[in-house]
Amino acid sequence: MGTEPQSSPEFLRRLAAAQGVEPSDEDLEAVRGFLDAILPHLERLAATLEPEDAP
Amino acid sequence: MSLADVVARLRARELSPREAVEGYLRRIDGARDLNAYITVRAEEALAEAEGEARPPLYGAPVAVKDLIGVAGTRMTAGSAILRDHVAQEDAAAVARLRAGGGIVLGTLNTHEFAFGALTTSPHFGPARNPWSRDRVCGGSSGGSGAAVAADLAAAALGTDTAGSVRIPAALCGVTGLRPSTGLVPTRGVFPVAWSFDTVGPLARSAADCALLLDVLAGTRTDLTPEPQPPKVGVLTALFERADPAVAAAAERALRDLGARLEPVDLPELADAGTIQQLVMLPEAADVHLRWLRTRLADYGPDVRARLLAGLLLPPTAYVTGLRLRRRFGEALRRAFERVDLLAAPAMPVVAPRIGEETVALHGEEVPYRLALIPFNSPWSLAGVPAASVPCGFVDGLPVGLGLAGRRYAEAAVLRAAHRLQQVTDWHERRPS
Repeated sequence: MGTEPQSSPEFLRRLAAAQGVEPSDEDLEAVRGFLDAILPHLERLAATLEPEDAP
Repeated sequence: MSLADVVARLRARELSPREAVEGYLRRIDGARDLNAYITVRAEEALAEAEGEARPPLYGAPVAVKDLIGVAGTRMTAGSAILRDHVAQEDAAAVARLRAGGGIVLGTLNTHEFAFGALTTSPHFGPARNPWSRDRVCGGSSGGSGAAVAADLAAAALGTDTAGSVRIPAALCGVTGLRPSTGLVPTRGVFPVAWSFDTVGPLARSAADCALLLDVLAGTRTDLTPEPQPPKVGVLTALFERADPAVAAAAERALRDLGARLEPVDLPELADAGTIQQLVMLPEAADVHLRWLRTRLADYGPDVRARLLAGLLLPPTAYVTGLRLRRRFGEALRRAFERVDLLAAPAMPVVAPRIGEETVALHGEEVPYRLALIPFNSPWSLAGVPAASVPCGFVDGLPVGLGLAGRRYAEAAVLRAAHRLQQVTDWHERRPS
């Protein structure tokens, strides 16, 4: 799971559009800041889970 | 006056509910610059004061965060989107408050949609800290913290998803309790994130919080001290992370408490904030999806960015967050097998100035939002009760001691807070 594609403005714009939302460039830049902070931790933490770790 | 004092005078008929309401309305009018209230229910509260004064509150005037529905009263959630929204019915917590003899003075300022920790709504203006009017009250229940600190209500209700009762309680020098998730019903409260949302009291003292909690939850909280002082786990990593003067005040309070102290190393705390974000952000985005599609420009920039982040996280992030949350809860349960309570500073810093987005910590400028997360998210993530208890001042600004307990062990948390308040007077200090 690479982080760059998932927080690139174009990827985020398409993902938002698919859900009927049209953020501005400024919005996407702010969101990118959030995601760049979270996604590496998500990847690291997800790797520590075992299949039997249920929700 | 504390809630207990007001109730005692009402019960003894030394004060009528109408006189109590009138007194608070005068104080509210004289402290408008604090911007603690969004809507003052002057006429309604005076009319309600003529009704039967039911126990246990006997007509005590309280106020509620403007996220909690009060029938026939505007409920804005601090937002432009709900600026003219009128609640059709009382939230369950308000109904219980009224059934317990409380009179609702009005609704209190909040961070927009309770989705931030500053209470600096671009739509209704910042709530100002009664200890220093150029400082924030924290949030999101910032108006609740300001109203209690400035004696603009006998007590207040806030909501707490990721610290929103404890943060303003700490920064405004009042006592605040986040109850266990699910203990107090949230029906009629505009949601932030369903699986974390709670309704909790902010008041002058732990005894006041216990009184309100019992009304809200139907509990019977006994503050009688146990024969042995509680065994408290000291979260050393959080003490080291806080501003040294803030940490020193919290350490002094633990000594004053006379608790049996045991250092606790809980490495799982480091990821609690991230895990809560993985679950909270998508839940919040789902709450707001219809308006993200149609009214995106009506959100303040900070709230808009957080909601969009929730919308745009990878689809598996939510389930991963739920799995990690369960594992974190198990780690915390193991920690509570060794101690009765866990303690840390409730906040790492005192209230920042309005407009400041970073705080100085150990010589570095750290975003305020990121600085507070490790001190608040763990208890929200695990759904356990947590309180902020006044424990001193740094540069003339209040500091809170954070205490967390086992799930549904509100009484243990409040007993420890009460014990501290029997031997210190930090909770009785008032801003000039």
